[in-house]
Amino acid sequence: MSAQPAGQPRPRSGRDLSGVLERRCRRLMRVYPAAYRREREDEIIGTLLDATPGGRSWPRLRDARALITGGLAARSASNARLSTLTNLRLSVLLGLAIYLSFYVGGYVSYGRGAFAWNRWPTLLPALLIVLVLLLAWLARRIAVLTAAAAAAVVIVVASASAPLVFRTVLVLLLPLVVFTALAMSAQRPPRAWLWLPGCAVAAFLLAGLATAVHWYTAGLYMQDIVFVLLGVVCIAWLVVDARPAIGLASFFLLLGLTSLADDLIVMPGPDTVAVLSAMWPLLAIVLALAVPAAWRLRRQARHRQPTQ
Amino acid sequence: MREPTYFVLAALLAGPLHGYAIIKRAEEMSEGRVRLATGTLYTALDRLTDEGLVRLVSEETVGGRVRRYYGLTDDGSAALRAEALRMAEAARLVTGEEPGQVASRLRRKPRTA
Repeated sequence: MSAQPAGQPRPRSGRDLSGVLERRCRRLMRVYPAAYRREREDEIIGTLLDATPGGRSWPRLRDARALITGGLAARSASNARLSTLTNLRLSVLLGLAIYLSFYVGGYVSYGRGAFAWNRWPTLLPALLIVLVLLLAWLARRIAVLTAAAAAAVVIVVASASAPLVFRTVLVLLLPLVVFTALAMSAQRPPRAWLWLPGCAVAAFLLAGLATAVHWYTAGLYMQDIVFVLLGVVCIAWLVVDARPAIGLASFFLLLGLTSLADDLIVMPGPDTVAVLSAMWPLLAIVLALAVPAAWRLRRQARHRQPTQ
Repeated sequence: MREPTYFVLAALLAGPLHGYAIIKRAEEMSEGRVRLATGTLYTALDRLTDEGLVRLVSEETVGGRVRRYYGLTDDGSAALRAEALRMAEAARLVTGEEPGQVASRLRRKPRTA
Protein backbone atom coordinates (compact mmCIF):
# COMPACT_ATOMS: atom_id res chain seq x y z
CA MET A 1 0.00 0.00 0.00
CA SER A 2 1.29 3.48 -0.82
CA ALA A 3 2.65 5.55 2.00
CA GLN A 4 1.74 8.80 0.32
CA PRO A 5 0.62 11.29 2.97
CA ALA A 6 -2.82 12.86 3.05
CA GLY A 7 -3.31 16.09 1.14
CA GLN A 8 -0.56 15.47 -1.44
CA PRO A 9 -1.43 15.37 -5.18
CA ARG A 10 -2.20 11.79 -6.16
CA PRO A 11 0.05 10.12 -8.76
CA ARG A 12 -1.51 9.25 -12.11
CA SER A 13 -1.61 5.55 -11.25
CA GLY A 14 -3.68 6.43 -8.19
CA ARG A 15 -6.44 8.22 -10.12
CA ASP A 16 -8.52 5.09 -10.59
CA LEU A 17 -8.32 4.37 -6.87
CA SER A 18 -9.19 7.98 -6.18
CA GLY A 19 -12.24 7.69 -8.44
CA VAL A 20 -13.35 4.53 -6.64
CA LEU A 21 -12.80 6.22 -3.28
CA GLU A 22 -14.82 9.25 -4.39
CA ARG A 23 -17.70 7.03 -5.59
CA ARG A 24 -17.75 5.23 -2.25
CA CYS A 25 -17.63 8.49 -0.31
CA ARG A 26 -20.54 9.85 -2.40
CA ARG A 27 -22.53 6.72 -1.55
CA LEU A 28 -21.90 7.37 2.13
CA MET A 29 -23.00 10.98 1.67
CA ARG A 30 -26.51 9.74 0.87
CA VAL A 31 -27.08 9.63 4.62
CA TYR A 32 -27.28 13.44 4.46
CA PRO A 33 -30.55 15.12 3.38
CA ALA A 34 -30.80 15.87 -0.36
CA ALA A 35 -30.90 19.65 0.13
CA TYR A 36 -27.75 19.51 2.27
CA ARG A 37 -25.97 17.36 -0.33
CA ARG A 38 -26.81 19.78 -3.12
CA GLU A 39 -25.10 22.57 -1.21
CA ARG A 40 -22.19 20.85 0.52
CA GLU A 41 -21.44 17.47 -1.07
CA ASP A 42 -18.62 18.60 -3.38
CA GLU A 43 -16.94 20.57 -0.61
CA ILE A 44 -17.10 17.69 1.89
CA ILE A 45 -15.94 15.14 -0.70
CA GLY A 46 -13.01 17.41 -1.60
CA THR A 47 -11.96 17.66 2.05
CA LEU A 48 -12.44 13.93 2.55
CA LEU A 49 -10.27 13.07 -0.47
CA ASP A 50 -7.58 15.52 0.71
CA ALA A 51 -7.63 14.00 4.21
CA THR A 52 -7.51 10.36 3.07
CA PRO A 53 -3.99 8.96 2.63
CA GLY A 54 -3.17 8.03 -0.98
CA GLY A 55 -3.56 4.45 -2.21
CA ARG A 56 -6.84 3.86 -0.40
CA SER A 57 -9.98 2.87 -2.28
CA TRP A 58 -12.16 2.86 0.85
CA PRO A 59 -12.67 5.74 3.27
CA ARG A 60 -11.13 5.22 6.70
CA LEU A 61 -13.46 3.64 9.24
CA ARG A 62 -13.53 6.74 11.43
CA ASP A 63 -14.33 8.91 8.37
CA ALA A 64 -17.17 6.57 7.37
CA ARG A 65 -18.53 6.57 10.93
CA ALA A 66 -18.30 10.38 11.15
CA LEU A 67 -20.08 10.79 7.79
CA ILE A 68 -22.95 8.55 8.95
CA THR A 69 -23.36 10.32 12.31
CA GLY A 70 -22.89 13.71 10.59
CA GLY A 71 -25.58 12.82 8.04
CA LEU A 72 -27.99 11.76 10.79
CA ALA A 73 -27.25 14.99 12.67
CA ALA A 74 -27.91 17.01 9.49
CA ARG A 75 -31.21 15.19 8.99
CA SER A 76 -32.14 15.87 12.60
CA ALA A 77 -31.27 19.56 12.17
CA SER A 78 -33.31 19.85 8.97
CA ASN A 79 -36.33 18.30 10.75
CA ALA A 80 -35.91 20.85 13.54
CA ARG A 81 -36.44 23.73 11.14
CA LEU A 82 -40.23 23.36 11.30
CA SER A 83 -42.33 24.53 14.24
CA THR A 84 -43.64 21.97 16.74
CA LEU A 85 -47.18 22.63 15.52
CA THR A 86 -46.24 21.94 11.89
CA ASN A 87 -44.39 18.79 12.92
CA LEU A 88 -47.42 17.61 14.90
CA ARG A 89 -49.71 18.34 11.93
CA LEU A 90 -47.45 16.29 9.64
CA SER A 91 -47.31 13.46 12.22
CA VAL A 92 -51.10 13.28 12.53
CA LEU A 93 -51.37 13.41 8.74
CA LEU A 94 -49.11 10.36 8.59
CA GLY A 95 -51.15 8.61 11.29
CA LEU A 96 -54.36 9.30 9.38
CA ALA A 97 -52.74 8.03 6.17
CA ILE A 98 -51.91 4.73 7.89
CA TYR A 99 -55.41 4.60 9.38
CA LEU A 100 -57.07 5.19 5.99
CA SER A 101 -54.86 2.45 4.55
CA PHE A 102 -56.53 0.15 7.06
CA TYR A 103 -59.80 0.66 5.24
CA VAL A 104 -58.25 -0.07 1.86
CA GLY A 105 -57.55 -3.60 3.12
CA GLY A 106 -60.96 -3.65 4.78
CA TYR A 107 -62.73 -2.78 1.54
CA VAL A 108 -60.86 -5.48 -0.35
CA SER A 109 -61.78 -8.19 2.14
CA TYR A 110 -65.28 -6.72 2.75
CA GLY A 111 -65.91 -8.87 5.72
CA ARG A 112 -64.36 -12.23 6.31
CA GLY A 113 -64.82 -14.78 3.62
CA ALA A 114 -66.42 -12.51 1.05
CA PHE A 115 -64.06 -12.08 -1.89
CA ALA A 116 -64.78 -8.62 -3.21
CA TRP A 117 -62.97 -8.16 -6.52
CA ASN A 118 -66.22 -8.62 -8.36
CA ARG A 119 -67.93 -5.90 -6.36
CA TRP A 120 -66.93 -2.50 -7.72
CA PRO A 121 -68.77 -0.52 -5.01
CA THR A 122 -66.42 -2.01 -2.44
CA LEU A 123 -63.29 -1.66 -4.55
CA LEU A 124 -63.77 1.88 -5.88
CA PRO A 125 -63.60 3.57 -2.44
CA ALA A 126 -60.37 1.69 -1.75
CA LEU A 127 -58.81 2.89 -5.00
CA LEU A 128 -59.95 6.47 -4.38
CA ILE A 129 -58.52 6.46 -0.84
CA VAL A 130 -55.15 5.26 -2.19
CA LEU A 131 -55.37 8.05 -4.79
CA VAL A 132 -56.09 10.69 -2.10
CA LEU A 133 -53.12 9.45 -0.04
CA LEU A 134 -50.76 9.60 -3.01
CA LEU A 135 -51.98 13.01 -4.14
CA ALA A 136 -51.56 14.43 -0.62
CA TRP A 137 -47.84 13.75 -0.99
CA LEU A 138 -47.32 14.44 -4.66
CA ALA A 139 -49.96 16.70 -6.22
CA ARG A 140 -51.48 20.15 -5.93
CA ARG A 141 -54.04 20.92 -3.29
CA ILE A 142 -56.90 21.19 -5.76
CA ALA A 143 -56.19 17.64 -6.96
CA VAL A 144 -56.23 16.36 -3.35
CA LEU A 145 -59.51 18.16 -2.67
CA THR A 146 -61.15 16.83 -5.86
CA ALA A 147 -60.04 13.24 -5.21
CA ALA A 148 -61.16 13.45 -1.56
CA ALA A 149 -64.58 14.80 -2.57
CA ALA A 150 -64.95 11.97 -5.11
CA ALA A 151 -63.87 9.41 -2.50
CA ALA A 152 -66.37 10.80 0.04
CA VAL A 153 -69.24 10.62 -2.46
CA VAL A 154 -68.35 7.05 -3.50
CA ILE A 155 -67.98 5.95 0.14
CA VAL A 156 -71.43 7.32 1.01
CA VAL A 157 -73.02 5.79 -2.10
CA ALA A 158 -71.29 2.43 -1.50
CA SER A 159 -72.45 2.31 2.11
CA ALA A 160 -75.92 3.76 1.55
CA SER A 161 -77.49 0.32 1.48
CA ALA A 162 -75.51 -0.85 4.51
CA PRO A 163 -77.30 -0.94 7.85
CA LEU A 164 -74.71 1.25 9.62
CA VAL A 165 -74.22 4.40 7.54
CA PHE A 166 -73.60 6.33 10.76
CA ARG A 167 -70.64 4.07 11.49
CA THR A 168 -69.13 4.70 8.06
CA VAL A 169 -69.41 8.44 8.61
CA LEU A 170 -67.81 8.19 12.05
CA VAL A 171 -64.91 5.84 11.36
CA LEU A 172 -64.08 6.60 7.74
CA LEU A 173 -65.59 9.81 6.38
CA LEU A 174 -64.59 11.96 9.35
CA PRO A 175 -60.92 10.83 9.30
CA LEU A 176 -60.88 11.38 5.51
CA VAL A 177 -62.17 14.95 5.96
CA VAL A 178 -59.58 15.67 8.69
CA PHE A 179 -56.81 14.14 6.54
CA THR A 180 -57.82 16.33 3.56
CA ALA A 181 -57.97 19.45 5.74
CA LEU A 182 -54.46 18.76 7.11
CA ALA A 183 -53.14 18.03 3.61
CA MET A 184 -54.29 21.49 2.43
CA SER A 185 -51.47 23.20 4.31
CA ALA A 186 -48.45 24.54 2.42
CA GLN A 187 -45.94 22.27 4.22
CA ARG A 188 -45.89 18.89 2.50
CA PRO A 189 -44.92 15.67 4.31
CA PRO A 190 -41.50 14.33 3.22
CA ARG A 191 -41.70 11.89 0.30
CA ALA A 192 -39.43 9.53 2.25
CA TRP A 193 -42.45 8.84 4.47
CA LEU A 194 -44.56 7.44 1.64
CA TRP A 195 -43.31 3.93 2.28
CA LEU A 196 -44.91 3.96 5.76
CA PRO A 197 -48.54 4.19 4.59
CA GLY A 198 -47.35 2.10 1.61
CA CYS A 199 -46.35 -0.70 4.03
CA ALA A 200 -49.67 -0.30 5.85
CA VAL A 201 -51.61 -0.57 2.58
CA ALA A 202 -49.58 -3.67 1.62
CA ALA A 203 -50.10 -5.25 5.07
CA PHE A 204 -53.83 -4.63 5.08
CA LEU A 205 -54.15 -5.75 1.45
CA LEU A 206 -52.34 -8.99 2.28
CA ALA A 207 -54.47 -9.48 5.38
CA GLY A 208 -57.60 -8.53 3.45
CA LEU A 209 -56.84 -10.95 0.62
CA ALA A 210 -55.86 -13.71 3.04
CA THR A 211 -59.08 -13.36 5.02
CA ALA A 212 -61.04 -13.14 1.76
CA VAL A 213 -59.76 -16.59 0.79
CA HIS A 214 -60.29 -17.94 4.32
CA TRP A 215 -56.64 -17.75 5.50
CA TYR A 216 -57.67 -15.73 8.53
CA THR A 217 -54.80 -16.60 10.85
CA ALA A 218 -52.07 -16.16 8.23
CA GLY A 219 -53.55 -12.79 7.25
CA LEU A 220 -53.63 -11.54 10.83
CA TYR A 221 -50.07 -12.77 11.47
CA MET A 222 -48.82 -10.93 8.38
CA GLN A 223 -50.58 -7.78 9.51
CA ASP A 224 -49.14 -8.05 13.02
CA ILE A 225 -45.61 -8.68 11.73
CA VAL A 226 -45.76 -5.62 9.48
CA PHE A 227 -46.92 -3.46 12.39
CA VAL A 228 -44.27 -4.76 14.77
CA LEU A 229 -41.66 -3.94 12.09
CA LEU A 230 -43.17 -0.48 11.54
CA GLY A 231 -43.01 0.13 15.31
CA VAL A 232 -39.35 -0.93 15.46
CA VAL A 233 -38.45 1.28 12.47
CA CYS A 234 -40.30 4.30 13.91
CA ILE A 235 -38.54 3.91 17.28
CA ALA A 236 -35.16 3.58 15.53
CA TRP A 237 -36.09 6.65 13.47
CA LEU A 238 -36.33 8.65 16.69
CA VAL A 239 -32.57 9.21 16.40
CA VAL A 240 -33.26 11.77 13.68
CA ASP A 241 -36.99 12.42 13.65
CA ALA A 242 -39.87 12.02 16.11
CA ARG A 243 -42.69 12.45 13.61
CA PRO A 244 -43.05 8.88 12.21
CA ALA A 245 -43.35 7.51 15.78
CA ILE A 246 -45.99 10.13 16.62
CA GLY A 247 -47.76 9.26 13.35
CA LEU A 248 -47.84 5.56 14.23
CA ALA A 249 -48.98 6.36 17.80
CA SER A 250 -51.82 8.54 16.46
CA PHE A 251 -52.83 5.68 14.14
CA PHE A 252 -53.09 3.23 17.06
CA LEU A 253 -54.94 5.85 19.12
CA LEU A 254 -57.43 6.42 16.29
CA LEU A 255 -57.86 2.68 15.90
CA GLY A 256 -58.62 2.41 19.64
CA LEU A 257 -61.05 5.32 19.58
CA THR A 258 -62.99 3.93 16.61
CA SER A 259 -63.13 0.50 18.31
CA LEU A 260 -64.45 2.21 21.43
CA ALA A 261 -67.01 4.13 19.36
CA ASP A 262 -68.08 0.83 17.79
CA ASP A 263 -68.43 -0.94 21.12
CA LEU A 264 -69.96 1.90 23.13
CA ILE A 265 -71.99 3.97 20.63
CA VAL A 266 -72.63 2.15 17.35
CA MET A 267 -73.21 -1.35 18.72
CA PRO A 268 -73.24 -0.98 22.52
CA GLY A 269 -72.69 -4.20 24.44
CA PRO A 270 -73.72 -5.04 27.98
CA ASP A 271 -70.27 -4.90 29.56
CA THR A 272 -68.70 -1.44 29.30
CA VAL A 273 -65.95 -2.26 31.82
CA ALA A 274 -64.79 -5.23 29.75
CA VAL A 275 -64.69 -3.04 26.62
CA LEU A 276 -62.61 -0.39 28.37
CA SER A 277 -60.21 -2.88 29.96
CA ALA A 278 -59.61 -4.47 26.54
CA MET A 279 -58.17 -1.12 25.44
CA TRP A 280 -55.17 -1.27 27.83
CA PRO A 281 -52.75 -3.10 25.48
CA LEU A 282 -53.46 -0.59 22.72
CA LEU A 283 -53.02 2.29 25.15
CA ALA A 284 -49.67 0.79 26.25
CA ILE A 285 -48.50 0.68 22.60
CA VAL A 286 -49.59 4.29 22.07
CA LEU A 287 -47.71 5.43 25.18
CA ALA A 288 -44.61 3.38 24.30
CA LEU A 289 -44.43 5.23 20.99
CA ALA A 290 -45.70 8.66 22.03
CA VAL A 291 -43.66 9.29 25.20
CA PRO A 292 -40.16 8.95 23.67
CA ALA A 293 -41.41 10.67 20.50
CA ALA A 294 -42.75 13.66 22.47
CA TRP A 295 -39.41 13.92 24.28
CA ARG A 296 -37.59 13.86 20.94
CA LEU A 297 -39.96 16.40 19.37
CA ARG A 298 -39.34 18.74 22.31
CA ARG A 299 -35.60 18.48 21.70
CA GLN A 300 -36.15 19.13 17.97
CA ALA A 301 -38.12 22.27 18.84
CA ARG A 302 -35.47 23.42 21.33
CA HIS A 303 -32.79 23.30 18.64
CA ARG A 304 -34.92 25.21 16.15
CA GLN A 305 -33.42 28.45 14.88
CA PRO A 306 -35.59 31.44 15.85
CA THR A 307 -35.26 33.00 12.39
CA GLN A 308 -36.61 29.95 10.57
CA MET B 1 -16.70 23.67 25.21
CA ARG B 2 -15.40 20.30 24.04
CA GLU B 3 -11.78 19.93 23.01
CA PRO B 4 -12.42 19.41 19.24
CA THR B 5 -14.63 22.54 19.17
CA TYR B 6 -11.96 24.50 21.03
CA PHE B 7 -9.29 23.51 18.53
CA VAL B 8 -11.53 24.18 15.50
CA LEU B 9 -12.02 27.73 16.78
CA ALA B 10 -8.34 28.01 17.73
CA ALA B 11 -7.33 26.89 14.22
CA LEU B 12 -9.17 29.91 12.81
CA LEU B 13 -7.48 32.45 15.11
CA ALA B 14 -4.81 33.24 12.54
CA GLY B 15 -7.30 33.78 9.74
CA PRO B 16 -9.86 31.99 7.53
CA LEU B 17 -9.11 28.40 6.48
CA HIS B 18 -10.78 25.76 4.32
CA GLY B 19 -11.94 22.38 5.69
CA TYR B 20 -8.80 20.31 5.18
CA ALA B 21 -6.57 23.14 6.46
CA ILE B 22 -8.69 23.33 9.64
CA ILE B 23 -8.20 19.58 10.19
CA LYS B 24 -4.42 19.88 9.77
CA ARG B 25 -4.11 23.04 11.87
CA ALA B 26 -6.20 21.58 14.72
CA GLU B 27 -4.03 18.46 14.69
CA GLU B 28 -0.83 20.53 14.79
CA MET B 29 -2.04 22.88 17.53
CA SER B 30 -3.19 19.98 19.70
CA GLU B 31 0.06 18.11 19.07
CA GLY B 32 -1.79 15.25 17.43
CA ARG B 33 -4.48 14.83 20.09
CA VAL B 34 -7.35 16.20 17.98
CA ARG B 35 -7.58 14.35 14.68
CA LEU B 36 -10.89 15.46 13.23
CA ALA B 37 -12.76 13.20 10.82
CA THR B 38 -14.27 15.12 7.90
CA GLY B 39 -17.88 14.43 8.92
CA THR B 40 -17.14 15.58 12.47
CA LEU B 41 -15.56 18.80 11.21
CA TYR B 42 -18.55 19.77 9.05
CA THR B 43 -21.04 18.90 11.79
CA ALA B 44 -19.04 21.18 14.11
CA LEU B 45 -18.83 23.94 11.47
CA ASP B 46 -22.62 23.77 10.89
CA ARG B 47 -23.26 24.06 14.62
CA LEU B 48 -20.74 26.84 15.16
CA THR B 49 -22.16 28.75 12.18
CA ASP B 50 -25.68 28.40 13.61
CA GLU B 51 -24.40 29.69 16.96
CA GLY B 52 -22.76 32.68 15.25
CA LEU B 53 -19.21 31.75 16.29
CA VAL B 54 -17.98 30.94 12.78
CA ARG B 55 -18.91 32.42 9.41
CA LEU B 56 -18.36 31.59 5.77
CA VAL B 57 -15.78 34.08 4.50
CA SER B 58 -15.21 33.16 0.86
CA GLU B 59 -15.25 30.32 -1.62
CA GLU B 60 -13.25 29.29 -4.64
CA THR B 61 -13.29 26.42 -7.11
CA VAL B 62 -10.29 24.08 -7.02
CA GLY B 63 -10.11 21.12 -9.40
CA GLY B 64 -13.82 21.50 -10.23
CA ARG B 65 -14.84 21.42 -6.56
CA VAL B 66 -16.03 24.19 -4.31
CA ARG B 67 -13.64 25.03 -1.50
CA ARG B 68 -15.06 27.24 1.25
CA TYR B 69 -13.10 29.31 3.74
CA TYR B 70 -14.38 29.75 7.28
CA GLY B 71 -13.42 32.44 9.75
CA LEU B 72 -14.08 33.40 13.36
CA THR B 73 -16.74 35.99 14.15
CA ASP B 74 -16.26 38.49 17.00
CA ASP B 75 -18.48 36.28 19.16
CA GLY B 76 -16.36 33.27 18.18
CA SER B 77 -13.13 35.06 19.21
CA ALA B 78 -14.71 36.12 22.51
CA ALA B 79 -16.00 32.60 23.22
CA LEU B 80 -12.58 31.10 22.47
CA ARG B 81 -10.81 33.61 24.71
CA ALA B 82 -13.32 33.05 27.53
CA GLU B 83 -12.78 29.30 27.29
CA ALA B 84 -8.98 29.75 27.32
CA LEU B 85 -9.28 31.94 30.44
CA ARG B 86 -11.49 29.39 32.14
CA MET B 87 -8.98 26.63 31.43
CA ALA B 88 -6.10 28.84 32.60
CA GLU B 89 -7.90 29.54 35.86
CA ALA B 90 -8.51 25.83 36.29
CA ALA B 91 -4.83 25.12 35.54
CA ARG B 92 -3.75 27.73 38.12
CA LEU B 93 -5.38 25.66 40.86
CA VAL B 94 -2.86 22.97 40.08
CA THR B 95 0.24 24.88 38.90
CA GLY B 96 -0.06 27.72 41.44
CA GLU B 97 0.80 30.37 38.85
CA GLU B 98 -0.49 33.89 39.71
CA PRO B 99 -3.91 34.48 38.13
CA GLY B 100 -2.87 37.83 36.70
CA GLN B 101 0.08 36.31 34.84
CA VAL B 102 -2.02 33.77 33.03
CA ALA B 103 -4.89 36.14 32.32
CA SER B 104 -2.74 38.96 30.99
CA ARG B 105 -0.87 36.56 28.75
CA LEU B 106 -4.13 35.24 27.29
CA ARG B 107 -5.75 38.66 26.92
CA ARG B 108 -2.96 39.77 24.60
CA LYS B 109 -3.73 39.67 20.87
CA PRO B 110 -2.98 36.25 19.41
CA ARG B 111 0.11 35.81 17.30
CA THR B 112 -0.55 35.34 13.59
CA ALA B 113 0.74 32.10 12.10
